[in-house]
Amino acid sequence: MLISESNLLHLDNDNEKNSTLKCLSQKLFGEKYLPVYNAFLTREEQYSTGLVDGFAIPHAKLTQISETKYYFVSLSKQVEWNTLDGTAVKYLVVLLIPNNGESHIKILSAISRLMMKDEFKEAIKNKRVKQMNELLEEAK
Amino acid sequence: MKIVGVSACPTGVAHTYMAAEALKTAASTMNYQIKIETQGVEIENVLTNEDIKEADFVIIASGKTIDKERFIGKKLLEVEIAHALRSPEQVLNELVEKAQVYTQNNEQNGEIFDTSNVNGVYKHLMNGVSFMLPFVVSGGIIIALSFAFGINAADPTDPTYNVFAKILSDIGGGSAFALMLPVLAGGIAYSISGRIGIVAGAVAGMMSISTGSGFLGAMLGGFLGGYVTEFLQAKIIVKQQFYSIKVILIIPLLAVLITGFAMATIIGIPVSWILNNLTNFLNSLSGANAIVVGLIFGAMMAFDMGGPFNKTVSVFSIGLMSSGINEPIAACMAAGMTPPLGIALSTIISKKKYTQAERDAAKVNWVLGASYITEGAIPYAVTDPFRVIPALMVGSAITGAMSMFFGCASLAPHGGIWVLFIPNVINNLAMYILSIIVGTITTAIMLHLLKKDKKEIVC
Repeated sequence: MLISESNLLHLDNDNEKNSTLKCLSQKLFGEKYLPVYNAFLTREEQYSTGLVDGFAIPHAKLTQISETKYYFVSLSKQVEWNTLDGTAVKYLVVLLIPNNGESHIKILSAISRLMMKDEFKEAIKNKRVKQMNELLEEAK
Repeated sequence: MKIVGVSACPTGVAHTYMAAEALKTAASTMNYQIKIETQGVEIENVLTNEDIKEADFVIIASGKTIDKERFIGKKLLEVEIAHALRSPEQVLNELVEKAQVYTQNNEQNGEIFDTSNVNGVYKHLMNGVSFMLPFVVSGGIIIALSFAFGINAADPTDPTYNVFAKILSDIGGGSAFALMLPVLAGGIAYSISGRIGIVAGAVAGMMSISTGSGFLGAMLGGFLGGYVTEFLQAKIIVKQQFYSIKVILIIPLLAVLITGFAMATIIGIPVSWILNNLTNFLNSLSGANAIVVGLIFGAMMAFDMGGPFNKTVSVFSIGLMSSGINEPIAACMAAGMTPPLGIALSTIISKKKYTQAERDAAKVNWVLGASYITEGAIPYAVTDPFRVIPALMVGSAITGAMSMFFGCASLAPHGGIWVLFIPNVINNLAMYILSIIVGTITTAIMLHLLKKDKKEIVC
């Protein structure tokens, strides 16, 4: 099982992008959230990670972690994210990649690819972990 | 049909794979075979020599520079990675329509500026400038060389006439400079709609000269030509066997007609109206405070650098010379020298605000500015008009006002440094030079304040 319940998060955010990312960083890293938050912001400044259909895919390369982490996050409030289709964001797929160390490149690329598939997005929205795993297994 | 491609993004994570997936999905619905190499955290799905050999087209969806050496000789198109993500079908259509055979040369020689990391309007402008810049540099230097024979040596009716000076002037001014605006507009249109767009852009650029709208008109004309061509490309659909007629005859003809009429009417008529009123306005200034006249004349000289405002003011000032009023033309000349000089200085003191190529090219601006060839500043204004033009105008306005304040007068209508040191051409020479220096420094300071640092734009 590549995806378990522990990969699913819910965030009590407010409707602003930066504070949502801050809230996310705090949820994941507690007091040591600041470098992670900055890494997210740097990435967003380069080019928004907003996709279509209410999804965004914030990601960062971090020295703090030694292996790849990924989370599927539902937001309590919609956030303007400068997405490709202009819709507000309701779901985040968060990818954290270790700067040096093992990067599960297969899973990363598979998740990224799956973000283009409606089936996968529906599965995330409805928290169908089993189906998400099947699709991921297929995509690998 | 077989397509191979590369997707890549500087952070190398999500977008690389999503773009690959989007293109794959689009290709399968359009019944194309496709293989995309993903240059993410590591390179995967590597294209083999076989793959490349068999492919009909190569698509590059990237936010960073990709080594394309292995694609030499293939039909290739580069797009922004976000474009591939958002509208993959359109990207594949564009690939088939617009791909050009890739030769390393067209990148090494053609691209003065690195356009791989920039997008949209800015990219088109940069492309136009990279087309135009060699014309400005070579033409400008050749004109300056002609001045070296004497400021009127290219004029057969002048006693100082020299046949070499005339030839140099014909090459530099009559030809290289005359091509500058058509090439700028053609380059912009080329960037938008590919080779087929050059004609509409270049014709619009030519018309910006005949309608008197100068480089601002040429910029608009370039965009107009490019987008009209692109629009026609998309809307006119013909059977396969008529495709060559479409691209050789129908589209160029319609694009040139539409763009040309638009230049003559939408752009040409208002410009000539403005210029008429401008002359009346200049006439009404007689008797106004000299400093005010200097400010206005100076600012207008820098507004369009050799365009209609610049020309109107300098021609008006030359007219005044016949009535023995020689101060305004001196102000014009000084104010026309500071834009290139100010940019040359700015690239030294504000290195971060320019690309390496811009800094290198700016060295020529010392010569062009000193020779009163204001056009040297155009390439810098084209890529960032809303910040650069005001900065240039402030510097030139101050120079013009100072020159008028010190009562500097010139007996020569042109020539810059080539006439300054001829005895009795300029009165109050020291203050005149001071005016130019102050304006140059002011321009550089304004550019420093207004221009943003160059930041790499990535996916």
